[in-house]
Formats: sequence, structure tokens, C-alpha cells
Amino acid sequence: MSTIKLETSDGVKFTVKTQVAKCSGTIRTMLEDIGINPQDGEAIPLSNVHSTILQKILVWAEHHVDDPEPPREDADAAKRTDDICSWDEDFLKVDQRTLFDVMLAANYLDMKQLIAVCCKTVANMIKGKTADQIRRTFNIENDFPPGEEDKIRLRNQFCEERSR
Amino acid sequence: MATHAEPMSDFEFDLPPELWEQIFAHLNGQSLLSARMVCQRWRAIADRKRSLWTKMRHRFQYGLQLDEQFARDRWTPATSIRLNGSKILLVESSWWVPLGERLTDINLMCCKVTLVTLLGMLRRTPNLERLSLYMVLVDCEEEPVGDFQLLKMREFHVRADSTFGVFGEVFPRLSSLILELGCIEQERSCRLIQLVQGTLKRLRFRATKYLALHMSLMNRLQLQHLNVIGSYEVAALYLCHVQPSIEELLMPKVDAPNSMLCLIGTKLPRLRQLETGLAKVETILTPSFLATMPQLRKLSLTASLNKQQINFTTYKCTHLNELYLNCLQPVENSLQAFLSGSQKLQKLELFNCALDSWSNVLTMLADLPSLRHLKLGYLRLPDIVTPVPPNLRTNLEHLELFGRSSMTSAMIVQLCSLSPQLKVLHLCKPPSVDDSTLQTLRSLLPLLTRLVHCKKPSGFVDCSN
Repeated sequence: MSTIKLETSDGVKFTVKTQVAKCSGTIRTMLEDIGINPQDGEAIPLSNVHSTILQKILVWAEHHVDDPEPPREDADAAKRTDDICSWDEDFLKVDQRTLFDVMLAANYLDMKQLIAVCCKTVANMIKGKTADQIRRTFNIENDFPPGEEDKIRLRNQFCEERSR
Repeated sequence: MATHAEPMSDFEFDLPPELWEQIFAHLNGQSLLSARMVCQRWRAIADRKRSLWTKMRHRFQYGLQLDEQFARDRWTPATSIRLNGSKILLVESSWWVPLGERLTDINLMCCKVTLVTLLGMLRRTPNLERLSLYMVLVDCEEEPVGDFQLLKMREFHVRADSTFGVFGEVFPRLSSLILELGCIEQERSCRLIQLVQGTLKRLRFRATKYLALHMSLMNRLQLQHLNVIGSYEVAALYLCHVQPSIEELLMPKVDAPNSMLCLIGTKLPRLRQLETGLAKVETILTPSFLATMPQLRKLSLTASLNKQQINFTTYKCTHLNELYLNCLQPVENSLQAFLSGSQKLQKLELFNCALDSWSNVLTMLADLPSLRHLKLGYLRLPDIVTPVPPNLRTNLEHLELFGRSSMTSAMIVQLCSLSPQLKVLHLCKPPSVDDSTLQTLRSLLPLLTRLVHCKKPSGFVDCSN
């Protein structure tokens, strides 16, 4: 089975099955379109990814390597967040910083399925909370000028979800 | 910037806007509104992404007066608005301009407005795609000329005496038009249809002789969907003659004789959907029109005579996906024979129909491999329960039974036991189904996700798991 080498931002080299590495659209493009030859033994540099995060992402890719291509999602379809599989749910039970780092790396590596499941996880952390509870959850400062938040709250009252 | 030895700040592990957009896309309306109150960055990201706001709408309390003084504060970016009972007085007001620019949908109910003011509002909505006027009183002394165009406008729905030809000038690319109003607006309706004839594909209106005649002169009109309100069959037939492009014909209030439907079938080679009433026939109706409509996908027939006998035996609809029968009594085995030629049937609804035997019904259902959805209401069956052939099985996923019919709870259990794929079961005011029967049904159906049982039409009792 063919393997390739990846080098992270902190200089750690990983030897990865080619098939697993191709879960990343970025790496797939490098191998297939740009024609980088994995037999050369040269490591592909991933200058935006730290070794601790790549390690984690490779665990996810290994688990999902045989997943079928997801159906194309209708842009207008109601987006569910209750369909995260239990393996992914456990996998993403990490502190917020790690979760965000995984998302940033997945974004850089162009791993759409991993990004999607992370986004659903974050959406579930927002759902059903007030603005104040959300700020505490994500440690965000309320930077609105005085009075502005009340104005937004007032306008929000004139807005609702459409029933189709 | 990052040289401070501060504890980790938010910015060090924040996400780029495109990821927040993707996260926000998973939020429901209330959570989206909360998210845009969190901080300036979140509000900017959420408000900028138009697709997040297509599911949201501005709503106002009933009877609001909209004038220059109304409001000047920032609005949410919702792309639709609904006004109910409002008196609209504003003319290109400063607050309407930024709001109107975003709107794709406007829905006015029971409002009072002059045509000049309405056009003034529309002038500021360049992205409008749908406009609905429901019982809106539009004052107009003299119809003005449309001196602007909304090129994205696709759907116009009028349920009031508020049609004007000027809308045809303003919405020149309309593809869907619904005119639910009396006959007094015929000239204006005609002018509107004439102005949009090149793009109009879907039309629902009250067909009259006047309109049908004038539409026959519109040589660029090529309708695909025609929905006729009212029972004037001559106008409907005439329109089918001049519009051979029609694929979907809905005329539920027309009691059409078989001969008229035969003519329609030969005039409309692309007909895929037919919904019609059937004229009264004292004896057995022979639906020979079916032979003229080989492309049918959806068929809906309602007899004007209760218990109208019908003989389907010699007909086939190979492509049929959906069948709806109302007030019909197929002669012995004829429905079974007809449906044996419709192997693609996915949905079957029978209302107030009389069938010859329960075991034949089960055999018929088991012979339809694509059938997923079945709805039976006020069904009449003979009292005798005949033995059911062994090894029958249906692929039903959705079953609805309602109304006083001669189905017994034993029959319901029998049908469910043959349908192990059922996911949804609705029992609305059915023959008495007691708790132990419900238990039996649950145990028979491992895939059931929703069971609704209501004893009275109004009081729903949701017994879902």
C-alpha cells in the first residue's frame, strides 16, 4: 500500500497511507493535478498545521476513509444538526481551542465532511442560548456601543422564521 | 501585534468568516437572531450572508400605519415582509429604501393602499421575486404607466379585485400568475396576461369566454401549467385547444364528460398531470380518455355522482406515479386490473370509494412494488372478510386511514402486518382502535417513527414514540 510523508509546521514528519491523505482536497490536488510524486520520499509541507492537530485529523480520516461521497446538499434545505454520528460526537469532545484548531486545519486541508461535522457541533453550542449565554460559552466580549444592543433586540422582535 | 505575553485572546483562536457563515447556516431563526446580538463581528458576518436570511421575514402587528414617521432604526436583513391590515401611506420613504432593497418576497393581507403608493414601494425593491396581494384594497383613479421594471419578479398572486395592466409593464418576466378574483376585472387581467405572455408558464385563474378568446390571439403564450377556477368547461376546453404546450391541467370544479377529456387528451400530447371532476353518468362510466393520455404521471378524478360506477378494466397508465380517486366505485376487479399496469405508482389515495373485497385490496397493494404512500378515507367495503392469500407484502412507508369507513381494527392490523416498512401511521377518527390494538400495531412495525391517533377530527392525540 502506497504511503506519503507529510511535514507539519513544527517540523514533525508523518508517514500516511495515500488513500487516507487524500481525504484532504488540498493534498489530493497536489498529488493528482500538480503531479507531486510520492515516491520521491520528499515530505509535503503543511505549514499551517501543528503536529498535535494533524495527529487528531489523521485519526478522523482513518475512520472515515471508506465513507461514500455525500449527496449534494440543497442550499435551501433545512440544515440539520442532530445527525452527527456518535463516533464523531466523541471525537469532537475536546476543548474549544482544539475544536477551532481542528476546524482551521480542516479548512486549510479542504476536508469538507470534517468541516461540516465541526460546524454542526459549534451550531449546537449556540442553539437555544441567549446572546449573553453565547458570549460566555465562547468567551466573547460584548463590543457594541451602549444602547446598540437594545436597538438590535427591538428590531429582532419584528423578525421571525417563515413558515413554508 | 502578538508580542504581548497576554493570556490567550479571542482572536488567537477565532475562525474565519466563511466558517462562521457555515455554522450560522445550521441555526434556526431564533438562534440566528441571538447570534447577531453577540458582538459586532458576528453581526457583520451574519448580516452580510444573504442566504441566511431567506428563511426569515419581517412581521408587524395587525393594523399598523406605515408612513414617513414609521421607523428609522436598522432592520434585520430578512428578505421577506408580511403586512396584515396595514394602512400604507409611505411614498419612497427613507426607511423603506434600505429595507426594500433586500426584499425578495412581499405579502400584503387586508391592506389599504393607493396604486401610486404601491408602485412607489415596488420601485425600491429591485430584487423582488414574489408579490402576493390578499384582499388588498387598491385605490386607483386612473391607471398610471409603468415607468420602471422589476426583472427578477417571477410570481404574482392576487386574491382581490386589484389586478392592473400596469403590473404587466412592471413585471415583464413573470412566469407564474394566480388571479383569484371575480369577473369584473377581465379587461385588466387580459392586459396583464398579454404583457407577460412571452414568459408566463403557470396560470391559475377563472376561465371565462372573454379571457379564453383573447388568449387564443396571444401568439407567444405557451402555458405549461393551467389551473382553472370555477366550473365553466367550455372555456377550459377552448384553452386546451389553443395551448398544446400544457403539461399540467387542473380543473377540479369542472364536471367533464368522457368525450371532452378525450378531446383534451388528443390536443395535449405532453399532458402529465390531470385533475378533474367527472360528469354525471347514470350507469357505468368507461374512461376511454385514459387511452389518449399515455404520458400521465398524476391523475385525480372526482365523480359528481356519489358511488359513480367506473370500469377501468381495459386501460393502462404505464408512467403513473400518483392516483387520487374520490366518490368512485370501480366495478369488480377493474381497479386492480388498471393498477397492475402502473408498476411505478408511488402514491394512492382513495376517498369515499366503494371497493369489492378487502382481500382484493391487499392483493392489489402487494402487486405495486413502488407504492410507498397510501391514504384511505370513508372507504366502503363489503362486510364479509375473505381469507387473504399467504405471503403478501407491501412496501408502504406512509399510511393514513381516516373517517368512518367499514374498515375494522382487524383489517387495520392485517394491513400493517403486511407492511413492515411503515414509518408513519395516521389514524384519524377511524373505526374504534383501542389501546391494545395500538400496542399490537407498534409491535408489528419496528421502523415506525410516528404514530398519530385521534378520535375526533379536532382533538389530535399524538402518540408518537
